[in-house]
Amino acid sequence: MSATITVLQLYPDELGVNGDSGNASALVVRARLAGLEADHVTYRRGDTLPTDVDAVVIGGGPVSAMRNVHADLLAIGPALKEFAADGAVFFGFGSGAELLGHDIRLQDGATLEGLGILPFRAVRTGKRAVGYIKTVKDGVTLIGFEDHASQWKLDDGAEPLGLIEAGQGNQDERDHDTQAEPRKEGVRSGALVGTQIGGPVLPLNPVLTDELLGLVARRRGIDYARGDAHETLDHYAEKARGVILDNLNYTFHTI
Amino acid sequence: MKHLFPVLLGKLARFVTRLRGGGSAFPGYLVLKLSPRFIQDVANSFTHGIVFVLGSNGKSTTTHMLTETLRGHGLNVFTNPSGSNLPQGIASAIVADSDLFGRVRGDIGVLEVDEGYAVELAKVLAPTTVLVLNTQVDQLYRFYETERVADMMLDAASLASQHIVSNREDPYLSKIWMRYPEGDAHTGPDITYFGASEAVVAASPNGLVNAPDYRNEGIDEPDHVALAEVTESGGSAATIDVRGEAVELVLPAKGLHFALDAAAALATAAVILGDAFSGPKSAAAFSAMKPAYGRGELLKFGAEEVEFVMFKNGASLQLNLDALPEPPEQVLLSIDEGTPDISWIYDVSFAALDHVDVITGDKAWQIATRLEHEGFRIGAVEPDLNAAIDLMRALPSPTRGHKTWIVNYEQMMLARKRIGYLDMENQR
Repeated sequence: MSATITVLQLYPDELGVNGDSGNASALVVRARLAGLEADHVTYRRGDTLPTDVDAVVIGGGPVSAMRNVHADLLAIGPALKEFAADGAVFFGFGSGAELLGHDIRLQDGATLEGLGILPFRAVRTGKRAVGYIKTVKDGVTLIGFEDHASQWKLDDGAEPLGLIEAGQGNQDERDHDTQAEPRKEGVRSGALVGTQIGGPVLPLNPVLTDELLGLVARRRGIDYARGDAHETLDHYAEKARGVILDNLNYTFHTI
Repeated sequence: MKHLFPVLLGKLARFVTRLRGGGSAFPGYLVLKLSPRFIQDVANSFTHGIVFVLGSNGKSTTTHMLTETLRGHGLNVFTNPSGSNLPQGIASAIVADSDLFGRVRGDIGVLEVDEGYAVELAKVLAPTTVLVLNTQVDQLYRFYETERVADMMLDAASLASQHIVSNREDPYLSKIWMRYPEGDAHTGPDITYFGASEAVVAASPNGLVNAPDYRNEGIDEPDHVALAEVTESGGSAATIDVRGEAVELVLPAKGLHFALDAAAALATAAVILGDAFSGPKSAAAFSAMKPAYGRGELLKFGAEEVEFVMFKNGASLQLNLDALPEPPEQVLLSIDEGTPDISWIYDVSFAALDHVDVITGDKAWQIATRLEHEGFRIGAVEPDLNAAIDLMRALPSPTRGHKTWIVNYEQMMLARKRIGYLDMENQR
């Protein structure tokens, strides 16, 4: 029970402009409220990677920032793949999630190689999806804000994170042949999660955070349980989601 | 003569919209529809031409500072009311100030312009001077990537016919020199920088919060001399070195970001006025300045006072929090749908506050969720602004100073109105 949970956030400066530190702190804070010890550790270019990691969090940023961290990311790629093979949780948002996939086809035709930890490839399009989003899958509802111009082509047999009830998602259009079938968002493979739901999504959706913490705890041979200490946090998040649900159809002006 | 009929209609439309209460961009829209060359002709009539003020934060404040500084030097300045920074709004402002023939008396026009329309407007209005203030992570839901905004401003700056004034401390905007590889003197407008001394920037807990420029990381930035440099900044006092002369200013609001805005205004005034620029005249103009609407204003709230701290995005919230001299005794914090995506709230350090009494606005529960992750002391979460104001009213009188309301633009407008200040921003 004495083991400390380590949540590692990669490139918080370059890939962290969407409140991505919130995803890392949701994991850390909720673990602590359950009586566990947890640390939020950051990794910047050139740092030494910690060896004992429970969860890896990476967030969003512009293409120039992706290019800047790219060489460093490829260099630490083998170590990150070992974490993944070892059952660590990976939570990627936006550009960071795309760098965890196979590759990213950019609008200028160039391709950025990814790590291949998440089972998908990304294509940047000129078409933006901006606004509130709601997905449901396996009884789990996720709510947040999406803002991207990407389509994600999942590997054969790979599962999305959610099915769209409101918003646009990031499913590759070629994979969506029937109108009857709901569109998809993100990717999920066991403890590996990639999404373009922002907000950030983990503080707003404790159900997903708790599920990931459950995986973290099980791997450590300890217990994670939501308790009374989580009450206020969950009350606020529930109310915040309620307001977003009321505003799902709000139209956002972009240029 | 050619604008007589459109301007007449525009003035009539303005009269009607004002009878209904509040400002409106409609008169400008109408005149532009009927007389597309209207604002261009007015712009061409100014002897000192037109100045554009662009930036992620501080446009209204700096436009106000520059306008008052130039007026303090005896110039007749036409300007757009803060917030009216889209083409229709600018045309409306001209309609309001013009005679029936569409003529505006003025030596110079100082216009704050929305980044998204800057290039389009620069092609119409042919600004002589473009001042670019800063590039901060702002309205990503609208602009998508911050470097797009930087390019909009750099592109617009390159359209200045005489002067570009840029921020030496802004990683994107300082690189305006890269567009003139052979030196600005031969290839285009001259480039002038404003800035702040290293010591002043280092003393700010979170720096200047300008967006990092990742695309030019390998570039060796030359040392630029700042024509106007903030050398001291504390609360609403600032010392700005202009061409070696120390100008001591009282700022219209507290904070290093306002000191930088002042440096931007003084650098621009100095470039436009040349030898006629006077430090004492500038300082006098600043001391007569009122706070820009809702930005650092101290307003009556029953027997008490409320200080309004307005922010637009994470960067301006951070800079305003960092400018607080001590944790305020009574705090209201409010964001509504006017700021749709507030994920950046997790990137803001709230270390300058030790609690929040009331969180309000549509985003109240999202803010509460963020602050609760840090174990913040939260008095009440009340999304309804009017009810939240009543909660603030019910608190005992603050023992020191005043109540502090930290609000986004839309909430500032509503809260001001609610406590009895009925003037609209565009009526000033």
